[in-house]
Amino acid sequence: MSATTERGLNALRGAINSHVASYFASCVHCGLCAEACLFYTETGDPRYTPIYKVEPLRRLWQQEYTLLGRIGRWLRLTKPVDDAMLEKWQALVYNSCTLCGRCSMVCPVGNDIAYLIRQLREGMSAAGYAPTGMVDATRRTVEVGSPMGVRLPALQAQMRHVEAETGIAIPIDQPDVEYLVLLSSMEVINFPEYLAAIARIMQQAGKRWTLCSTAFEATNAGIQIGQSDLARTIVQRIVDGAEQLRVKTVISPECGHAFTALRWEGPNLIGRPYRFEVLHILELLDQLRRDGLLRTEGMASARMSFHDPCQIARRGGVIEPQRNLMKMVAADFVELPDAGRMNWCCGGGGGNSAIEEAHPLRMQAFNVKKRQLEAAAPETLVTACANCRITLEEGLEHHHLDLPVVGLTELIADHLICDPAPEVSDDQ
Amino acid sequence: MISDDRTFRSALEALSPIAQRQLAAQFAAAVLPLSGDTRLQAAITTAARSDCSVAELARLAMMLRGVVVESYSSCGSECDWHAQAGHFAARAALACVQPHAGRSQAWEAAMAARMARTSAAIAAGAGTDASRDEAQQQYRLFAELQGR
Repeated sequence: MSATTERGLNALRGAINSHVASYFASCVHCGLCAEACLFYTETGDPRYTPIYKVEPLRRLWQQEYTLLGRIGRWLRLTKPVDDAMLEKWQALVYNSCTLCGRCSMVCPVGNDIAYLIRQLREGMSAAGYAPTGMVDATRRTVEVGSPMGVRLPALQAQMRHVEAETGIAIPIDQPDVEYLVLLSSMEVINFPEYLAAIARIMQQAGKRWTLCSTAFEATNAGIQIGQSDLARTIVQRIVDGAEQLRVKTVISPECGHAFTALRWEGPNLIGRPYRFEVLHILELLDQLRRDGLLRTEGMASARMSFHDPCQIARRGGVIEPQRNLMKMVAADFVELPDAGRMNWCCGGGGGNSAIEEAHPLRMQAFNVKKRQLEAAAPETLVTACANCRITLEEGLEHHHLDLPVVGLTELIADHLICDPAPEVSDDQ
Repeated sequence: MISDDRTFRSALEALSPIAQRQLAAQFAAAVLPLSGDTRLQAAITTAARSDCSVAELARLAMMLRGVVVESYSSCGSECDWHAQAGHFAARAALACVQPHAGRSQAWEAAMAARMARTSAAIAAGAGTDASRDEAQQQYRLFAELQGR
């Protein structure tokens, strides 16, 4: 066994905590999780049964932490977890899992199988069995601060573009404002219209906000690949930026996993509560709506549906805000089957879209989304995650479906009542 | 000549659909060299004609949507700003042939063209005035259209 594998197994041993042990001990082997996984339902391949994907972790737990398992190992009745097994499981743990958590929702004993995958990824990553695309993204996150290599000058160039487009100054490193707005690299690179929408919405609402030059990136490659140390570093970078600027609230962008990483896992990663609140952009927009600060006009006549990003709706608990917002601007809003908490993943989450060799499987898994879309027959699909948006567009293109995909924040901004910029209150 | 975007946008929105499309084609053509994709030229040439049919535009829009999707920087991949300039050039070309409800085609093409120029400037490590220079060029193109 190589030193790298030994390091991976040690990482796995470290990942076996009381949650992991109780999940494995209580698994009743019912297989219900299979029918909840888009990779299983769309291929029929039993290897894609979620609980089977975590077999290396289960086997290690059984062999080292249970009496029968230890006896079996001593009598050589069970195979050890070794290089060959980890190599074989790489595709199952990364290519065929988006950490969407749908399997966790159907488990009759309440096991969080997506959490088990996350824990297994810790060991796979330490053992050198993470996909190249994700390893590279992680390296760039460490070296540059962005998984896609976005540096501050690129952001500044986009800021100037948005300023010219909107006529609104984009604030950066402004202390003592209410909101620190984070972006994903995807928004900086592919969707500068998101930043333009934020600028227009904040101006209409009369809110003071800022970007942060040392912490503008929200995404967390450490969470996706399974490196808690890196995940902690990325969260800490944001915490430091927010605390130095003394903002009241940090706004997570239209990105799924960035929200769960910062909102739900961040305090545990850094070992203390935040001194600020974290909201997803949809939660903020809904707050502004409730406070009468988000005023729109006109309704889109096209039939519209909303694709719930898994990490925002299912894992993040944000379900109603997007529906309240859709109803502000969509005259014909129709839900997809299984919308909300049980929505089907686009297929690109959990770092999957960074894995080139996973593309064919991803497109096959997209069939479930295709069926959802055919059932609801929207003329425009709206979502709130830049990665979902591109994965959806890829899937639609692959399956020859002509359906525009737009971001909800951008859609709301398109319907803002155009009136003179309100005075920003002094108490902010 | 127009010198600010607020006036520019209003002026573009006031144009007829055909004039918008033809001006959008000029905006897109200005950044065409930033893309190596030969499919863009055909769309821009067609969009510049006053007599192109709805069916022709729809066929080109379908083709260009594919080009745009292919050229996205995917999540987690290293951004190649040269390629990204090509992506935005494709979006500018798409704006020429695909009317967008509630939005000015010419404005959409103008913004995408500026993003193409900005991306190219980032790739070159150049200053960040590229978008402003492109805007001035677009104001001039609009003035020429008005002067005809």
